[in-house]
Amino acid sequence: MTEAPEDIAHELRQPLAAILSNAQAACQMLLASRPDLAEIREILEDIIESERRAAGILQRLENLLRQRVAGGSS
Amino acid sequence: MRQLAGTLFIVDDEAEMRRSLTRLLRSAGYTTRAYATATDFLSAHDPAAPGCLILDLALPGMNGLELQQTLTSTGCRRPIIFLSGRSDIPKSVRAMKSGAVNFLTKPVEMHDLIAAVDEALTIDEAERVASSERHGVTERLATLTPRERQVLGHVVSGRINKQIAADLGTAEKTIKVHRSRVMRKMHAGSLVELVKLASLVGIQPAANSHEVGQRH
Repeated sequence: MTEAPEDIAHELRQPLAAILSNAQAACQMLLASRPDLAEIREILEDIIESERRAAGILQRLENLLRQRVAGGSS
Repeated sequence: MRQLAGTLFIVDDEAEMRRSLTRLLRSAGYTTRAYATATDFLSAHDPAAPGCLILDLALPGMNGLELQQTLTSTGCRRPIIFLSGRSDIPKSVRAMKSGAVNFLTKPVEMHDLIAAVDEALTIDEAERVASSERHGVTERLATLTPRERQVLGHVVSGRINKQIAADLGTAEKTIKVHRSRVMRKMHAGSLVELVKLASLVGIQPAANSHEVGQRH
């Protein structure tokens, strides 16, 4: 199964978008007089999760590009 | 924190997007509801509830543009903010032409999203006010007798009682009575107000007064 680099790049937007919205939500919540720290912790865990997912997608993109370079030179 | 009323209906198939958008918008003071598919949204949808849609373009099953069409075809004018994974120009043009309020590309900056949401809620509210006004005027219009309805058409075209009386073959005094009844029934305080109310329900002044009168 071959993937298009554009599709992988597109897939990367999803975790990046979630990370941005989560981080901005956490910043907003910290402005409250008594922030819900349990929820902020949950947000940080989600950010870590999304970041790992993004790193996995990036790895696939790198592998694909490496294969293409190798395939092109042989 | 928020002055604008209404619920933000989020439709996105990715759980992490639903969660993060919900948190972000709730932290900014909005009320939200999130759905994984267009079908889930439609089955829970109450068109009478104020609010706007934050809609993922590339949903599995019924996609964002199809949901937009479905809503439009049922006469629902709920404002839509599209979120897209990529900057798809042809699709965004199509969405905007079909009445979408905005088209944002993921990742979305908080202040861009909030500006779009506030714009959409303002449009939704204005649309609801206009719609309820139209409804009220339609009800009042229905209380007019056929003759009063006829006089209304002449009055909003700027014709004076004497001309209307001549056109309808009756006494000026009678027209005066009809006119004041029309004003009262339509809850209009002035001619300008009456013209405005009439135009809300599609009664426009005749371009040429002779068309109304058929005097000769």
